Amino acid sequence: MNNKKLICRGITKKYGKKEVLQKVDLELEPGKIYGLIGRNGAGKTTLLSIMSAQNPTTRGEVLLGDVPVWENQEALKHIYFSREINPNSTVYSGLKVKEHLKIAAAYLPNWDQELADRLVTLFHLDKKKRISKLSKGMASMLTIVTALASKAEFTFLDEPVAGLDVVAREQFYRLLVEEFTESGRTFVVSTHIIEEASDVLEEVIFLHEGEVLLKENTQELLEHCVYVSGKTEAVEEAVKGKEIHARQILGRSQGVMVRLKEEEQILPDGQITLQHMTLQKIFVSLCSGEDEAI
Amino acid sequence: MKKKYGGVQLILDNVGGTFFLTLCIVMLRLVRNQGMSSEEARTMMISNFGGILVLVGCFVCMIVELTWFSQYAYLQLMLGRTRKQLFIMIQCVKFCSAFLIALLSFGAWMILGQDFYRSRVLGTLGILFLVQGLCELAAALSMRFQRMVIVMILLLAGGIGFFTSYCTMMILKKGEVPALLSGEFFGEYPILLGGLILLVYVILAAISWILLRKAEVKQ
Repeated sequence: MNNKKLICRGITKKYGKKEVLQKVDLELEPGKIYGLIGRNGAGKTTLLSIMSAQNPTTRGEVLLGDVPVWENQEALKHIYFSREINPNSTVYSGLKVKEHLKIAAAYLPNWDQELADRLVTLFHLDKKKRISKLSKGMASMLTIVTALASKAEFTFLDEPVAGLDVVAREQFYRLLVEEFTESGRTFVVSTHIIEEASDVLEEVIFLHEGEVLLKENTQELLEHCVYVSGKTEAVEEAVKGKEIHARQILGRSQGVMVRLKEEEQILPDGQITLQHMTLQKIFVSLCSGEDEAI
Repeated sequence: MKKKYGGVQLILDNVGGTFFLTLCIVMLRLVRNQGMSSEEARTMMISNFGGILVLVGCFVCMIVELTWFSQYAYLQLMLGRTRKQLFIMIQCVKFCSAFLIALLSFGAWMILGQDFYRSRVLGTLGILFLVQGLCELAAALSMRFQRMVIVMILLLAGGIGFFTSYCTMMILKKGEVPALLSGEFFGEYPILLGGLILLVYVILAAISWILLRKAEVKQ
């Protein structure tokens, strides 16, 4: 492990006139599991593909330590982005699972064949099956196998649990934690199934409309966000001067999400009710407008 | 560890495929012309292994290159290879394939006692380089701009159509189809035209690199 940070500096990505990423600044520290969370089209896959030098930026750069990652073979040995496999893509046409794994083994410098074989058996993946014939869940399993067996210090997984049944999802999270504990690798997991993942994510990155909305320790975020509800006047009084999101007004009552700073607190009284929020609710509150919140 | 689907594999596919396909055409023509005298059979083999082999070579190189770009180039980029590495590798593949296929052709001419002259050498190499250069450009264009994949498909379809119809006509008409790629079109200025081909080839490769260095990986 080289213990270098992966740093994004002012990443902007445009497709035609559409700006998919807008001046994204981000630092990934080694030895953490990050959750990359965002709505469809927020730019998650684009960001991960740029961080792994699979796609170029329009502006900005990605550094591993102080070395640019773009077109840098040495730096790329430490980064692997396991993309969501689209079985209908020409990239995988005619390829069998075993051929895909063979190619991965040939090109990924730290490939762990033993682990790959163990995971293939665990997930009951048919090695002789063509990728184009795989179900969505099976394709996800293949991306998980490749990601974990790559042993890359920075491993990115794009929607790894898409299409997986609940047992397989649990297996994946267990494997992820096992691998993380054993190797201390850094994982970035992009997912829509936030609640399930929240227990294993050390930090979360909320991406919204091409911008990093928040990057924070999951536990601290959960501790600092509360839902305050009660009579409008009492709520207004309690949250005065605090960072509020997603206000909901229901007649004479209202509810609001409050993100407390380090020294701030709201004490419950008879007029207001305080509730802890789940990661999913925090994300929805931060990303949606007032009328569609919570 | 030898990189699967890397440069050596591509060169083997190009040269092996060319040899095998030419052999198939020769066999088909022999089967269709069973009453052929040994002298006629010999002449037919000269025209096939000397001339048609180059056409087959162009066809095989085109198919192999375009399919490689549409599949393995993306896979390799996803697995951490750089665009520069891919570009250098594909240049080596183009050179080695062209030279080896040309060698096969010249070897056939020599074994069968035919002369081969400067314009034929330039013609054979030139056409192989240009076809591969054009395919590389079309592939790089589609990697940079997804919508331009249509150029690649058209090139592929056109190539398959031309090759199939040419070979079918040649087999049906018992070889009475004008032989291409003999290099005669170089006339009296082989150096000048050879230089021109080289220039076009370099320009094609340079444009390909400009497109390839910012190629997008998408599925």
